[in-house]
Formats: sequence, structure tokens, C-alpha cells
Amino acid sequence: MSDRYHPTEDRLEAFVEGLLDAGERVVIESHLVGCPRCGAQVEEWRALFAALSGLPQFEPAPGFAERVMSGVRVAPKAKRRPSWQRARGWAAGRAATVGTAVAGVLPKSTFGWAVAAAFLALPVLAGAAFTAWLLSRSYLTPETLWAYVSSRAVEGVQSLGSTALTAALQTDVIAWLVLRGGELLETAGATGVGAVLATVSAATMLSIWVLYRNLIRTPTRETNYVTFSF
Amino acid sequence: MDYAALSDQQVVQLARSGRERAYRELIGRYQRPVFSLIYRLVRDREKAEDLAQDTFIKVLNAIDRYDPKFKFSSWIFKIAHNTALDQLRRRHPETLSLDGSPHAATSAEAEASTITPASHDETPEQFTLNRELGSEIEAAIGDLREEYRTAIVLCHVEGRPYEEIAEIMDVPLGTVKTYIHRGRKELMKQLEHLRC
Repeated sequence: MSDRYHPTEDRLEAFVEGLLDAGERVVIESHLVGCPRCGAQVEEWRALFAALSGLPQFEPAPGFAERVMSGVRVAPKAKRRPSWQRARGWAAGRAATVGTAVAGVLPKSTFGWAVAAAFLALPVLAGAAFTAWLLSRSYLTPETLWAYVSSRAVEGVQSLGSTALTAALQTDVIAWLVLRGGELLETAGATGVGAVLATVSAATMLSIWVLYRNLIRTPTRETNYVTFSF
Repeated sequence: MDYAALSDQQVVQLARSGRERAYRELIGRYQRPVFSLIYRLVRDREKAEDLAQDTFIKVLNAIDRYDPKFKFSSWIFKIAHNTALDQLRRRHPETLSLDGSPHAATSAEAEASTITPASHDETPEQFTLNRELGSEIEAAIGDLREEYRTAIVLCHVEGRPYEEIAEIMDVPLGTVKTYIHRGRKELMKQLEHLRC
């Protein structure tokens, strides 16, 4: 075989060490079949590798671990926390898990928030639009409309009250719930009811504002990131 | 708890929480490899015992500062290597500084930068008197320069991959490959007479 094609010494070393890829291995293996000179070099490398891999590890004198430990400061054991602290930690962990789950389903972009807000605001808008349409009819005045709505509401409340009363009389749990609900209403009073109504109104207004900002008004900025956050 | 079944990282975690048995487990796992590396570097059993002991005391007292991003073996070997190097520098200050540049690109450069020290406090003959290191191959390893010896022992005796040896010796990967290649070449040269 021509001398030009002898693999370099580095290649032969890498071949013995097993560092070559399959293609290079095949090339060298086929070369070795007809080249005693390279074959001898490979045998030398193999002998060296075998001798080195046969070298033993040495054992320090007996009592080594004890001598080491006499100079080591073992870290103080972590004290077991009281049960209430562990319970608080557990609750915090669960809360974090729930928070992560909720965050996972919340919208990730302005558009997502706008769609969510639309879902919240659309029923209100639809109701407002329907009321406006009714009031625009010539045969309907606010007085007649109010009379109709209030009579229907009274009928509905009466019907609901009758049903609830029947159920309450038939079921102890419902009776208990009605009782507790009544007590709660008494306790909360007009202020509590007003606070609930104010909260619902604020949430509705916020939804409408988000919808307006993102779906109706044309954005002036050419950005893809969220332009506001909650 | 079966400590033997745990990974190094898990045992370290237990040591950090104050389990003395975890400290002993780490000593048991690494006393032979660490002692062997140091022994082959300093070639004096008594001194190697002291240095291995120092290595473990340093490692275990600093267990809180161990960064689990890295392999525990790399960390302990690195400290063992540095501890042995400090000892060698104290013992042979002139040898290490004049024994040729470890970063020489060619053998000619290495040869040109080598100055033979006037004296050693241990001769090769004394090395071979040592029963454990008395074989031809151990004597040949003992004659290698420190960088080659460390790389060869870590690679062939401890079976560490090149990347980990680079971390332990704090040199680039290419330099480790050069050390190992040159070390092997030196060994082949020194052991040539055995093949005749």
C-alpha cells in the first residue's frame, strides 16, 4: 500500500481509544489488514492502554475516615419545624399550585384579555341595546315599560319564593340554607347589598372599557406586547 | 436508608442537613481515588495520606458551598489536585517552573523551555524502591511531568472523561488532549525496552 495513505499516529491512537466514528473506523480497519507497520503501531498503543488500565487504586491506611472526621465540622441537623409551620408551608404550596393553574388558563395577550372581557360585557351590552330599542318604540313609554317589568319581576319573585318555600318545607337542607341566607341578608343590610352591586358594576364597567380599548378603538402603536395589565 | 444506592448529589444533600453518615459515605466513595491520585503525584505514602486527609477536611467543611451544577467528583478531584500541586511546589519550586512550558505547542518548544534542575530530594531510584509504585509502568508515570501524570492517571486509572479532566485541571479541553497524547508518547518511549 502506498505510504501516502497511512493514517497519522493521532488517528491510530484515537482508533485504539475508540474515539473515531464508524466510517473512520472502517477505513482504518481495512488499512490495517494490509499494513504491518500501522498494525504494529496499533498493537503498541493497545499494549500501553492495557497496561494503564490495569493500574490499581491504592488504599489509605486503616482509620483514614476517622482521622478525616476528627477534623470535620458536621453541619447542625435541621430542626423539625412545628406542625403549624409545616401546615402553613403545605397550604402555601397548594396555593402556589392553584395560582399556577389559574395563571395557566388566563389570557396571555391583549387580544386574549379583550376576548375574555367581551364575554363578560356582551350580555350587558345586549341588554342595554335591547332596552334602548324598546324605549325607542312609540307605543312604549318608560312608565309602561317599568310597569310591565315590575309586574313580571313581582310575579317572578313570587313564583321563585313559592318554589323556594315549597322546597324549603320539603327539604331540611334547603330550609336551613334559606334561613341562613335570610340571616346573612339581615346582617349585611343595605350597605352589604350596595357593596356587592358596586363591585358588579365596577367589573362590568372595566370589561366594557377593555373591550372598547382593544376591539373598537384603533390601536395607534405598532406593538405586539401587552399594552396594559391587570 | 441505603446510602450506597444514592447519587453523590443526594448524599451531599443529606450531609448538608447534618447527617454524619452521609459524610462517611462520601469518604468511603472517594478515599481510594483521591488517595491514589495524590499518591501518584507526590509519590510519598505518608505525605499522600496527609494531603488526602487535608483534601477531605477541606471538601467536607465546605460542603455548603458546593455547587450542585458540577459533578461532585470533579470538585473533590480538583481540590485534591490543587492540594497536591501546592505540596509539589513547596517541595520542588524550581522543577515545576523550569520543567518546560506546559503550553508549548510542539515538542521542540517544550524541549527548548526545559531546564533540568540541579537536585531533587527524591531520585527515580528511590521511587522504584517503593513497593507499590515499583513496577516499570508506575516508574514511567512517576517520571512524567506533573501535568501529563495527572491527566494520564485521571484518564486511565480513574476513567474520567476529557471534559471532566479539563475542569479538574482548570485547562482547556484541547490542552488536556495534548497532555494525554504527549504523556502516552513519553510512556511508550520509556517502556520501549520492555517490548524487545
